[in-house]
Amino acid sequence: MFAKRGFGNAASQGSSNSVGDETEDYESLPECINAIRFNKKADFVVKPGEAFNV
Amino acid sequence: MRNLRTSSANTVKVTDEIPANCTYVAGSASLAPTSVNGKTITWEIPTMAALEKLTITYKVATDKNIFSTTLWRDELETDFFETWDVEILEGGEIWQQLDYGINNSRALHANEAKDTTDFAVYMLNPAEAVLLGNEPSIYFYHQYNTQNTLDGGYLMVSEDGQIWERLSDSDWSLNGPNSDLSYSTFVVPNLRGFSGNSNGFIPSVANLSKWAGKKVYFKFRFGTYDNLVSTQPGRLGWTLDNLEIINPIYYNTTACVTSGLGDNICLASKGKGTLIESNKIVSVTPKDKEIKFNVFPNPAKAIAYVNLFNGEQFEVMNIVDATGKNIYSTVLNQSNQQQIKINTSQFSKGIYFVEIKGKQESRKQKLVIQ
Repeated sequence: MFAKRGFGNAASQGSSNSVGDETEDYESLPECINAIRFNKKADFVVKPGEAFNV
Repeated sequence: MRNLRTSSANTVKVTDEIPANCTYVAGSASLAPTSVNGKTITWEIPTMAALEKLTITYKVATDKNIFSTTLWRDELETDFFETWDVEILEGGEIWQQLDYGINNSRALHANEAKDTTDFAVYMLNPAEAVLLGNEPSIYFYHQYNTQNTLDGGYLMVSEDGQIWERLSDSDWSLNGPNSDLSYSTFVVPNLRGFSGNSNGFIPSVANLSKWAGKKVYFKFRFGTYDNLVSTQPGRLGWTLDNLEIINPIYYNTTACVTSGLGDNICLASKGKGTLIESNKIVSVTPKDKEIKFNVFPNPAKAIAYVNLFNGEQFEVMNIVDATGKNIYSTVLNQSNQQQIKINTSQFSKGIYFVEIKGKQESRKQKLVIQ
């Protein structure tokens, strides 16, 4: 039941200093996935002409 | 990136696209890329061990000539009571303008009380910008630290200041509602909003395209339930700062991962990606079309005067009390400037609104009778 809501085995809260970096995990155990999983994050806002982090 | 296997993965390849008008900052990657070819940046990783986790970060330089366009802004620095009003639905809390904003600037703040409360702050007049152009959106900064779900807040939008609509999660482009809000608190079913801990100020952006071609009012409602509050450190409640309406531009592209074991997945950043900061320049609206008036003295006792400018726009002046009941009405003549004397000695003490209606729009100001 928890896995369905995205709180599976490898779910994590992320950094306590930012929101939006939580890692969702919809599977029960890594062994059951048998694949590579990834996510992509970037800064929320960038000033024009400045660099942002990906 | 994680290899969720009991065995290693070979020839793992990660590619990401550099957004248009952007360039990779040489040397900025946490893992040196195998190649940077045009707009494609590639990492080739010979093997990833079972359950290995790998994070790659890098920087992207942007073009200083590309930015989101500001249509309207209210940094909430001037006395908010001139353009905003508060409403108390339950409890003894009220929105206040305090130095709780970004860099200790002024901001609107709702306190999380150890009590059951429900209170809102809303605009007396619509934001002075017709929603035009690409994806007109509200962009604001906020900070929240509340008990999850039971205490929190949400945004409403109106075209007439009377009927307020909620936004759905899909209207949000950046940092939309993070939480359900309890029926016990607001008595609104399926309500979504902000609760929990934002860990400082975060930007949020919502698309207002459904009001394209119109002007809109904003209302922020905050509520709490029971005597429990957030146990996390920091200021409790919800704080709003630097409201804008913008035509946003975002940078976002798709990254892909492949491997010798047949992995092949692609995805982009959550939401719309990275917002390019706005230019903060509001184009000036032609003053001759704006309704302009003032009320004095304010607070008033026996007599109040209303000074009207640009009379060709005016049609009617109403004074309504706090319950919305119309207690004074007069048809305005069309002269260019006029002063109206109102005998307020029969008015009971309290808050009233002077409403001037024109052919195209109407505007309100608060009048206090002492």
